[in-house]
This record gives sequence, structure tokens and C-alpha cells, in this order.
Amino acid sequence: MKKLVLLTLGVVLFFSSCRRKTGPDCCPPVEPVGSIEVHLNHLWGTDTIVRNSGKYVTANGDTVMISDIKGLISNFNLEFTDQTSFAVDDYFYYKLSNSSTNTLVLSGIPDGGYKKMGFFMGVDSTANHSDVTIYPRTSALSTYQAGGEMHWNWADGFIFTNITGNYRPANASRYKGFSFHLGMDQNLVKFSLPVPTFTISGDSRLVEINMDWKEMFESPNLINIASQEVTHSTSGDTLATRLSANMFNMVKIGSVK
Amino acid sequence: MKKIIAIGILFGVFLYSCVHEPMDGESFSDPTPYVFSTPAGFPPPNLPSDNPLTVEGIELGRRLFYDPILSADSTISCGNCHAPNASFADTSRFSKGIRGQFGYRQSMPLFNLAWVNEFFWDGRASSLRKQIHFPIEDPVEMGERVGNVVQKLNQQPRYRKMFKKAFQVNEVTDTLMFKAIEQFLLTMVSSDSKFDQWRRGEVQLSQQELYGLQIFEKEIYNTTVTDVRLIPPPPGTLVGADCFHCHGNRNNPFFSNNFGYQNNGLDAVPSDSGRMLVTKDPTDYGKFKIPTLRNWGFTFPYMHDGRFQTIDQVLDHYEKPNPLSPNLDPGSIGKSATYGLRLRVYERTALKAFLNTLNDTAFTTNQRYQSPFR
Repeated sequence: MKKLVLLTLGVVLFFSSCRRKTGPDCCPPVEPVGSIEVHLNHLWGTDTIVRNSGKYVTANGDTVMISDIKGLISNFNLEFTDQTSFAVDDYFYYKLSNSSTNTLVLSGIPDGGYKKMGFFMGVDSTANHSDVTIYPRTSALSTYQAGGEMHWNWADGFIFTNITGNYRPANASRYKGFSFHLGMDQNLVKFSLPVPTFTISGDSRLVEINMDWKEMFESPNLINIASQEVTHSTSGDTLATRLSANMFNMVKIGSVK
Repeated sequence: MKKIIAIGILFGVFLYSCVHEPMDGESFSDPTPYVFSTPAGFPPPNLPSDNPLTVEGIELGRRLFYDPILSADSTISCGNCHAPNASFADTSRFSKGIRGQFGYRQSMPLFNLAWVNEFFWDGRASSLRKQIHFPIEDPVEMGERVGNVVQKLNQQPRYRKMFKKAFQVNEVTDTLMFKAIEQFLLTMVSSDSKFDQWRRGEVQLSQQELYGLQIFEKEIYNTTVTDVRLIPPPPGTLVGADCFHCHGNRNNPFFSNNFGYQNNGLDAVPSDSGRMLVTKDPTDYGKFKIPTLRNWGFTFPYMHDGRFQTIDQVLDHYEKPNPLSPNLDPGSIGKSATYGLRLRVYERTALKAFLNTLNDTAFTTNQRYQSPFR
């Protein structure tokens, strides 16, 4: 009988040793947190961009067909109605050609009322000049994601925004290519935009961001693609500076649901 | 005392449960874990969590790789079309498969696969394990059914023993066969070229090689308005070959955009649909995976159809204006469509000198990757 009791005790002891410890000494209490889904709408004016086949006319008279748009978004910063703010420590890589990448999930959002949203189109200087091989596969900056396409295929840091396609000047019959690779620290585009006030209470909200790429070609700097079809944002390249400046006008907050 | 005895018995039972049952009258210890070493400057590898590398699994995979038992008439092994001295590609334009048949694409080299996401020129295999299935059942390559291969392996005591040592099983299965080959392929790492040694600070590149690297990483000169061979650029202007947009820069140890498929302007009307065969997307018509430039000195002929025998022929292609084929890479359709690269002789020589630093002889001669049947 004693053996049986001892054996039972032993089995109980063995299995109890496998259980994860809980309680105040082990794990901090989990705060209720919500999330925000940010959906990127890629537009030309009010039309949703159709890759390769959609033909769009710029104010300069160029007809543009867009092959793809790729970009990095980072440093989301949410401002509460009481002026305090919450920073989201994450990077996102979107591609027009991959619809799933155009919904960015900001997780771990504290409860509260929000009135403003800030973010970078690109990455901060520290990340821009980091060694991309250090990022885990799941990171947007890893070589399996943006690091492969937006860092290794470029010279200095990350490409922040990459838009490529074909265009035909008003007086021409033949399409040619254009390729705008915007990057370098000085071309980082930072936004801080008011949003319709919304609250998070351990739940999720959908915020739509409308990105009107028509603006990149015309406001405030009218772009004549034929005069320079390619930019790699090298030092002294004014096209990259002018395109980056135009990006400030292309982003608007849409609806919040 | 009784407590101690009881706990001791309990512990003994616990340990006993960890020992594998003898199989077919012979027992084996657990396979030996293989420690995958990530070379300096390489990102974390993409190793499958359900197929841990073991010494025994890799050795089994190596044998299977070189064994023609995988083909219907036991004449073709993986190694026939992926030879070590060709950096595991084929120096023939099209590889000869079963019954003397030829394929229609160049055999791709095999190395650094632990960092690759999609396989074949058109990316039709989403994992290395899935990739292995294709050549076995391709009627032009090995022409065999996977089920038949498994049956043949089960009939060979040597293989049964090797599978038992690698996976602790009594019976060969298709999944385990794929896993074994996958293990061997994952260990094939090329990371000791002169370029790698330079990156690690072990050797110096010559001035010419460094100049070639600069040309590699620099976009082309503004050839829309200027043919540099007729009107030279201003003194001190670096004329680039714009290789890096598709083949990466000095930070990219793979010298390929592993994610990319491009139409590089080989034909006005491509006869091979390429990536479109997989995606069914017409905008992928004529696009192919961007190959690595590492070990290019061993992997001739070049392009998906092996049309170019030499690196000079490849550079000649980029020197010419591209035909306006559908889906031509926008980077190519622009300036290079007008004049091509227009590298001067000394620039091409320097570029080739740099490219030579990407060849890794230590890899192609590594005994761990050679056939066990020699």
C-alpha cells in the first residue's frame, strides 16, 4: 500500500514539475489591449489603381500604367484625446501587387480615445542603416521581405517607396519605362494626421488611409517623366526630392470603423 | 529508504520510456543532430521545423541524390543534371533525362537553398521538399512514380537500415525520402568565394575588382541622351552596369533578388511563358526567376534556356537595346531600351574581374557534397 502511495506521489510530483508557474511572482497581469487595422487604399484620384492595365493621365499629359508600388511604413504614433501618445514599435512592408500586405495590423493598442495618427513612409535613420541580416524572418525588414527587395537591390539603406511602370508622353505613340526609387534619410516622409475621434476598449478598429498616387506626379511639383525616367535618390537628384515633397499631399485619412 | 527505492523505480521507468524499441531485431540510438552554421553576413536560414537536420538524414539524402534508383529505368539521378563541378547545375544547355529525352530549360544550380523561398525558373515549387517531387515524376527527367521509388527503396536492406538510422522507422515512406533529400540539399552552402573572404576581412580585392564592384552597384549612365562611346561622360563620372537592382549589392550574399521574377528583354515574343504558367497572371508572361550570380563561372550556359555560353555573351545582351517584349522590366525598358549599357572595354574588364570573385571553388570541390558512389 505504501508503495502505491509513494508511486502515486511520485507521478503527481513528476507531472506537477512540468506545469508552467503562474501567479504574481511569475507573470505580470495581462493588460486588456486592442488593435487597429490600417487599410491602405491605392488610388489615382478617386479610382482604385489597376496594375499594368489601368491607364492614368497626369497633369503633364503623360499616360501612366503602374506595374507595382512597394513601400515601408513605420513609427506609427497614436495620439490620445488627452494629448498623450502611444508609439507602435513595428515596421510594415506593403505591395500593391500583394493585397494582403495592404492591411497593417497595429496590435497592443491601449484603451482610450484617439484623435491623431502619425507614421513614416520609410524608416528612421537607425533602421535605415542597420544590418538587414539581423532581422528575423517575420520582420518586415528581414531579407525575406523588404530587406531582400528594398535594401539589397539598392545602394544606401532601404528604398522607402518604389513605384515602377510605363508611361507615354502626350505627343508619343510608344510606351517607355519609369522607375522611381525614393530613399535616403532626407527623403523620409513623416505624417501626423487628425483622425475622426475613436475609442479602443480592448477591441479593434479599422482605419482607412487613402493614398492618391496622382498627387505624386503633380502636386505641388509637376513631374515631366520624359525629362527623367529613373531616380535612385542619389545625392543631388532633385527628382527624388520633388517626388518626396509631393507625397505629403497624397495621403489622407479615410473612414474609421 | 523505501521512498528512495520507489522514486528510483519511477525514474527508471521514465528513462526506459525514452529509449526506442528495437526494430527488425536491431536497435539504433537517436540520430545525431547536425548543427547548421550560418555564414557571416548571411541572414537567418529558413530551415523547416518539421525536419530537423541530422548527420544520418543528410548522409541518406546524399545517397538518394546520387542514386539513379529514383528514375524509372535506374539511369538518371539528381546528380546527372546537378553536377558538383557545375556548382550543381548542368553545363549542357538542356539536360538529358530518361530515354535520351531533353528538357527545355537550363538546370538551375543548387546551393544556399536554405535561404530560398520558391524553386524552379518559374517558382512553381513553394518549398524545397515539394521541389524534389517534380523531377522524379517528370516524364522527360526521371519518368518514375514516387510510389514505385518507395517500393524499390523498401526492397533494399541498405536503404531500410539507413532510413531506420535517420528516422527511427521500419518502413521507407515518400515523405521521409523527400525529407532526407531536403536535408542534404539544405546543407549545401557556398560561402567561401574571394568576395566572401573579402567581406570577412581575410583578403583584399584588387583595385580592378573593387572598380568592378562599383560598376556592379551603380546605375547606368544617362544613355537616353548620350552614347558614352561617342560622347564620353565628364571625367570622374562612374558609369554603372546597374546589375544591383536584380542581383543585389555587396550586402546581399546571394547576388540575386530571391523574390523576384523579371523579363530581362531576351525576346520580343517569349516562347516560354515563364512565371505566368504558375500564376496565370498575364503580367507574368515571359518572366523568370532572377538567378544568383554566385558561382557563375561554373554554371554556364546562362539564362533560363541556356542560350548564352559565356559571360561576354550575357553582357553583350545587356549592351543591346531591349526589344519591347511584354512585361519587360521597367528598369530595362527605360534608358537601356535606347542604347543598352554601353560599357567601355576597361569597364567591362573590371566588371568581369569583380564577378570572378563570386566563384567558390571550395564549394564545388567540397567532399561532403560529392557522390558516395565514386
